[in-house]
Amino acid sequence: MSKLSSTIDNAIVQYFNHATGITTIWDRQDAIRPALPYISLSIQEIEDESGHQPDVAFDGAIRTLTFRNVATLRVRVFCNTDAAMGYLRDAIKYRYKSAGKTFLKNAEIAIREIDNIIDFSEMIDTNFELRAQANFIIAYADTVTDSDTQIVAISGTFNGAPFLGGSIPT
Amino acid sequence: MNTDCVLSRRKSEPALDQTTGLYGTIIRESKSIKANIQPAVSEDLQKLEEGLRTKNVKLIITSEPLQVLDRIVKDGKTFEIMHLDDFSLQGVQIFAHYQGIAVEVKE
Repeated sequence: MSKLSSTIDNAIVQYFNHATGITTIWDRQDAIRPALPYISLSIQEIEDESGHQPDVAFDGAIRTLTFRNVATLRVRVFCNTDAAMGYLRDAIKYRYKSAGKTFLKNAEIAIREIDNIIDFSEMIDTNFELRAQANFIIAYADTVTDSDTQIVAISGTFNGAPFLGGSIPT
Repeated sequence: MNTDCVLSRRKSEPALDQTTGLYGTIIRESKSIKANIQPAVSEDLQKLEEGLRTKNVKLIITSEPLQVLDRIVKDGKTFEIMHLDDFSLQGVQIFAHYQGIAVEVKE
């Protein structure tokens, strides 16, 4: 089961992988941690863009609904050098770079940081593990195709008098 | 009293897919063992992390060498070993055993 959609999930992993060049995984998987340094991603929240109805494309009895969503993504970096916060800076800067912009355009997502980068390094056994965290907003669209029985398309010939003295445009 | 159950162990760590950020399927190998499975008492629960203490927890005693994250399947229920005490070098060989505290996992 995908988190947002399998295409967008993969694009998010690729974005951080390209931006920082380090291993990127989804959080909370049943496996051992990869070797340091690595980035761990988790989706914190998904919401419909507030107040918006889905965009509807109506084709006979088939409707395509396009939902515009935003998701909050928590990004954590675990490493054993001072670069923890630097990796997140790289991830933020990548969206202004040409390569990053092209990537986001092709992946059809938008990304933006919403918080400061926080340090939460900790002592693990006898060594410090350098950690940093930042939250990002991901904007994306997903569509649903639906065969609608509530709205029925009609067809026929208009047989009334032309209104306002004009003729019905053809 | 020893009862028959199945020990299921990770054969290898799953491979990481660098494109999706997801690990592959965990491959396990199983074998039948005999183990003494008892309800865990409060002293055993203290050895677990706090979030696990309200789950269905069993104390598993066996002469079969166990590892943390091994799974024991008994009567259709699966328990994963979260804490392990190794008494294999304890005195006389016939008393050598492993004692695991296992939490039920639902898949």
